[in-house]
Amino acid sequence: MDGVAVTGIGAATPAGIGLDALWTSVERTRACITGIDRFDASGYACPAAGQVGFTAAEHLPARFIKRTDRFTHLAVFTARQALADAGVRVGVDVAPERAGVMVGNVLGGWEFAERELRKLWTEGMRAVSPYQATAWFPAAPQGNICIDLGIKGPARTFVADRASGAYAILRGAETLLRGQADVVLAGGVEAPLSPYGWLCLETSGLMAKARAGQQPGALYRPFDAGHSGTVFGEGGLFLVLERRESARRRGVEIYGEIAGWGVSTDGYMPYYTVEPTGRVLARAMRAAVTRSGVAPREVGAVFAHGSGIPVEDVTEGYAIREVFGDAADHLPVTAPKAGFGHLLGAAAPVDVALALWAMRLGLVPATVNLERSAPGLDLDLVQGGPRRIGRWEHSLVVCRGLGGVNACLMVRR
Amino acid sequence: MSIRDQVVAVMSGLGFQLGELADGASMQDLGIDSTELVEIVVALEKHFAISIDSEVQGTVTSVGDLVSRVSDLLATDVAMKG
Repeated sequence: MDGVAVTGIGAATPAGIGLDALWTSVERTRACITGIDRFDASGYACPAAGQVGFTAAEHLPARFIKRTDRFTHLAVFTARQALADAGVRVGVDVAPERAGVMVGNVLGGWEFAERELRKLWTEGMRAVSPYQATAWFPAAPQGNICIDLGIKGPARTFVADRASGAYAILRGAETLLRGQADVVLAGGVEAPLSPYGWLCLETSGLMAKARAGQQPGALYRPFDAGHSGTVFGEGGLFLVLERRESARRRGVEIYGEIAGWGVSTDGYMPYYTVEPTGRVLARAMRAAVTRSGVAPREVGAVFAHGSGIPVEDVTEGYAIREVFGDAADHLPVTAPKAGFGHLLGAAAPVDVALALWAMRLGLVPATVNLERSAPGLDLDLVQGGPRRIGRWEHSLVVCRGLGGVNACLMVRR
Repeated sequence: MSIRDQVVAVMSGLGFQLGELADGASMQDLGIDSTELVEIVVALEKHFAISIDSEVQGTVTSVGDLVSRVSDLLATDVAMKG
């Protein structure tokens, strides 16, 4: 059976523009989460975020910027970067109707939307931008990527909370394996840094609470005894996926493969919590392992969901133990997102890109802020600095979302 | 400032380049779709304190048309205010 190869990556994250900047930051175990300067966040429980140094006007025309939200700017920019990286020109290297786009996004374009809502209530209907409807909705990046790049094949947006990007990637892989497209841009994007966008995250109960005297970079502490929740961020990352055989025929460099995936749903009450034994998450992990045709002991590293939410951290640990058993004693687990923030729709694509690069270098990056393992955790956590473990071929990427969504991806070197 | 100059100024505030706004430039050449036309019309209405016919879609096909429509409305305005 053919495989799904990753042949291009485009990224804009709080660590910088491009995969190199992201990897460098992660390899150095850097914290690039800062105090929010995009709006006055002093009244929020978590006034820190991963912010991207990206000025749309430097890359996109004014008439495009005015009709779209920042999340679309980031998406179009990183999609272009990914295709350029893969050396794919739509209409030349792939027919437009054989190219597709799969996007993960959670919140939509609130920076644009809340500005227009303010005008609605203060100035009336006529003051609202005619672009409001198409600027906010979560499928705006998908549509605009298609228009910008001339893509006319399968396109879809996935909204599954923090597992959105994982769904976009697995659907991209399925689309290729079913022969519905030959090249698929699969990834995710999020731009939650607006007063209302950030408020949505605050009221979700998922965010880390800032403590007096604590630096912004120290707030996100997955698996650490001081964990108190997630610090979110903005960013975008797209992968170019194509069937392994066609990538080989093109003679293009392959980063690695999407070897398998597994999904499950906790369906546990109350809505905002997770099934307390981790057994449903374990099912999704096991399905990803099985589908990729390897045994659990052949998995060399886990790029964890690592939300830093105590109950999620601990149940993720239970699930890893259940699936890997004794092998978990020597299975490095890491959450590099602790350094730059959980990027919501872009989180899973970023983890996949990091896993691919980590396997290329034989280095498992460390989890920032991990000083003392939280009680209840019995994992081989990578802390302090990156761990060199020699060559390994399979990495598990774990993602979870509100409502009990579990989506795991197996990344192969 | 002439009416034409003001129309151009309003449009350049919406991201258009001065050089591309010749009288003969068509909506199609400039890639102006129906939504952007609404944006331009609302901005012109606000700037000139006039009300432009909502069925401007088919009848305004160039920058020159826009300038004429605005000029006509302003002239009518003046005439009505006497």
